Amino acid sequence: MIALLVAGPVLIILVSLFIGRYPLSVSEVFTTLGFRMGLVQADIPATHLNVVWDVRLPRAILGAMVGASLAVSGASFQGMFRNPLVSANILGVTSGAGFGAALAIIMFDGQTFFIYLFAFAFGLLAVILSYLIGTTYKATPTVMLVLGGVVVSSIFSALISLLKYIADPFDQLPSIVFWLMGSLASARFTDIVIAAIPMLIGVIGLLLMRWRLNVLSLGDIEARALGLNVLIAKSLAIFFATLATAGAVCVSGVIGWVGLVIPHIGRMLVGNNNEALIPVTISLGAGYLVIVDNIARTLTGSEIPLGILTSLIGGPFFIYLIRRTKARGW
Amino acid sequence: MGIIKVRNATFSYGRENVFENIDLEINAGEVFCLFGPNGCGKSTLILCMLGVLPLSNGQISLGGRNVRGMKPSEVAKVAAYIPQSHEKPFPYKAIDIVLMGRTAHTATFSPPSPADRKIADEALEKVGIAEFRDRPYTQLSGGETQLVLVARALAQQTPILIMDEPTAHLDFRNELNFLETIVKLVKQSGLTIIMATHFPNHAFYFEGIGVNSSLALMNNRNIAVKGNPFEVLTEENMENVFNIKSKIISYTWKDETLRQIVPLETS
Amino acid sequence: MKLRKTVILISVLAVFLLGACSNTPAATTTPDENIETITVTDSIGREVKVPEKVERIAALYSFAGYAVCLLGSGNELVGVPGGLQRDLLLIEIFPDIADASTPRVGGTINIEELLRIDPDVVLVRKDTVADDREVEKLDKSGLPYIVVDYSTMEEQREAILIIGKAIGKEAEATAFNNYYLGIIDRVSQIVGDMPEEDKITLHHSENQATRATHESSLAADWTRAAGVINVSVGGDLELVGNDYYASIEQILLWNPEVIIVNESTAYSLITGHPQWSGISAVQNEKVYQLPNGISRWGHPGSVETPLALLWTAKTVYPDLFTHIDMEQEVHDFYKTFFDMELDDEMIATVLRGGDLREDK
Repeated sequence: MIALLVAGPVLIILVSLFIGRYPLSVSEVFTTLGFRMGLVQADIPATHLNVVWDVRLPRAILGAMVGASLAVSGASFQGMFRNPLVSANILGVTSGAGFGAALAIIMFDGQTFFIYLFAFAFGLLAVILSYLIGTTYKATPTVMLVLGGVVVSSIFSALISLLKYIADPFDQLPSIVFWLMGSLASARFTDIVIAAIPMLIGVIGLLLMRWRLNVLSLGDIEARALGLNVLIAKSLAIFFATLATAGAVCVSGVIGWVGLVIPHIGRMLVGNNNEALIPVTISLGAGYLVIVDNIARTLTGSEIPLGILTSLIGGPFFIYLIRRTKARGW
Repeated sequence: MGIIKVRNATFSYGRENVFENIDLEINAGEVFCLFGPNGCGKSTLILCMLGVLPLSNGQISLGGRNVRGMKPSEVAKVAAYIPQSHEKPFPYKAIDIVLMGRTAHTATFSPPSPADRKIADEALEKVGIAEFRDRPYTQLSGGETQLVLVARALAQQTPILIMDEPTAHLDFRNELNFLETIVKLVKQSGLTIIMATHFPNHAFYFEGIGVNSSLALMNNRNIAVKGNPFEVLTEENMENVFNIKSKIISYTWKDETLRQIVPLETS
Repeated sequence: MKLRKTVILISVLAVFLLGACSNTPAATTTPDENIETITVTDSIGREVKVPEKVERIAALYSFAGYAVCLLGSGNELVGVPGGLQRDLLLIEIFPDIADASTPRVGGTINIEELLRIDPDVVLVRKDTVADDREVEKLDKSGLPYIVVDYSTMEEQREAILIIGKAIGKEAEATAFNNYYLGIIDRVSQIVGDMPEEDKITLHHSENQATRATHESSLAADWTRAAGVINVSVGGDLELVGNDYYASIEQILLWNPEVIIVNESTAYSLITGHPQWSGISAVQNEKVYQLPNGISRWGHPGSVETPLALLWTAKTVYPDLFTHIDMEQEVHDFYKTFFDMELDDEMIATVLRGGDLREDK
């Protein structure tokens, strides 16, 4: 089982090394890989190395990490808020993080540390606000939380628009716009190392406390009576999920819907016990985003920003989920 | 003897006291029924015993320690809770729910051990619902769900079980089945059971079947009378505390004299 | 490809229908009867009456602003696009620009602000009048507005002439256009007959590293005139917002021999990012940053197009242009058209690029 969960995304990453605009034969890709890893002695054109090692590989790895982060944070938010209709995106975390990052681009001239810090801080603020709004009417908590997220999300989207309005139309605006749409195009290994820190901490943290998410999903009173320090457990889960989301948003912009679609596919496959669901979600999320990105970068000469494709897939899926929720008590 | 001691306990939401100046002592190994009408503060008192809600005044000791100073995991090793109604957030399997009884015994970043899983299986067995093990518990009936929650409480391996109107949503047969299960557990393992209820005959049932039992009548934010069912559940008390005219009837079954209280009219 | 054609077809139809249903921009406006007016025909063929003596000009996008300055009327600008206020050299020549109003922000005109500054003439671009709401605002204001637009060097010269006529600087406009034609001619004499196979391939990065020249843009025209093969012209590009981008793999495939960029951030990305390292231009250290004078040379809104053309030709074919002294050319250009005497240090700064535009 574990082997399958690891092998799946790894295989998809490998396959994506063969896909792209630059025409490379299968043997050329293998030779290039072998050469780069010191297994083969060959005369490799520098552009082949670029394409395989510097363009396709880092992009696929980063895509996998981003997909895993968004998916697992979605599953965790669903569990801890006992609400199948939420994800980092719907709770406003991605818009919040996007706003934080855009703010840092303008305020600190795009210094990496501040981008991450602001993305995380505003992501956290967004989820707290959504949660507070969601607890206003106790009668319909599921819907209220979603509505709270919609409100918070739209506030932060508006703030992002405000920033775009303020930003330099020549220099900063295109970078903010392109970045918000979500693209992994200029990923390099040094970016991966930096971006991996928050994403890995978030993903591994959630992976380790996945069983606690089951207990949290029973609600505050029962979870506490079962011996859980609810405040600490919930804070930790929100911390990890927001950290993973913010890390993903910082490298690839706002990519919608992954956090909603993937956990539900996971639920269909292995059920709702987070012990199994969380690892499966991580694996599926990683594979899914790499595949979508492969589609995005091969459909056209340039790239359709990822966010567009994931939304096109995710929106209709959300409608399906709502229908299913209504029909079967979800 | 008192495994739970409630001293001068007051709880208030804002300015409104839910209950005030309550004194109670519950002995180890007995079934204690907390009887009172809906909204009299039973559920709140129970949550205070579990340390989930903090008292405004007074103190509660649980297994000899002030519950206020205990961590959630420490409380959960002494007392297990069976809620009145359980909202099913996700279609977990029955065994997943029972396993959650082991929360207090696992660390934040680790899943339950094989030993924990064995305990959960045994708890299902003990309650007699092993066949539901891998069924989504969302597909179980109210009575079956309640038994799953009992199994979860047993998996906690605590000396005390605290139940909040556990039979409120059960049908006639399931209610009896539930009570029989409780009796079996008390007789087998000497558990202390605290049970909020609005059926006074539950106390007579426990007494009649030969289980140590006691009873407190709760009304108007206070405990009016407490003692063993025979002393407390009297026609006078029902009249004085709840303004109900009633009749105690007794009958013989399997050589035991059993009692039931029958309500006649409100006054 | 089929999808794209469909999209284009639908867009064209939509534009056509919208155009048919809505008010087309009013052909003429009627300013105060007492003021002497002249009639100017703008880039989209409208005849506009403007006062004979223009003293207050609102330029609502960068090219118009630069052009007004070039023609010597920078001090009459009462409304400018925000970008101009960060061109340090320009501000040095026309300090008032720094405090001028910016009536068009974020793509829409603040009509009240525009009316407050009370310009004698308003200069707008074609995309502004493509929006019915903007047209309605302008028409209702009664302000004479001139639409100036171009996508080739010839049209750019025409645009300069239109602006020159509108602001009473026709002679200056003609002088500049003659200089413009002269540069094209000087470069053409050397690279005009060059066979295609001898031409150097070039990627022109506009602001972003992968943002590339589209075939119907001004840059496609002036890079062609510089005698280079602009790799992205006619290539498969993706429209993001209003700009065209190429994918990095596509650029690797084109493998340009020279890359010119107009932004220092793009320059450092291209020269420092491993993805780009295999490209011929990077390997042979032929990545150059375009100079930056009153504006970024070669930028779609810049008036320094002839200089960009000359510089590119000399940079790409240094052996063929040994006779061109770029320092002298820079000195003469700003002396002639801006009456500014640049010292050697300043000339070097201009040619280095990047330092004369303030970050926001």
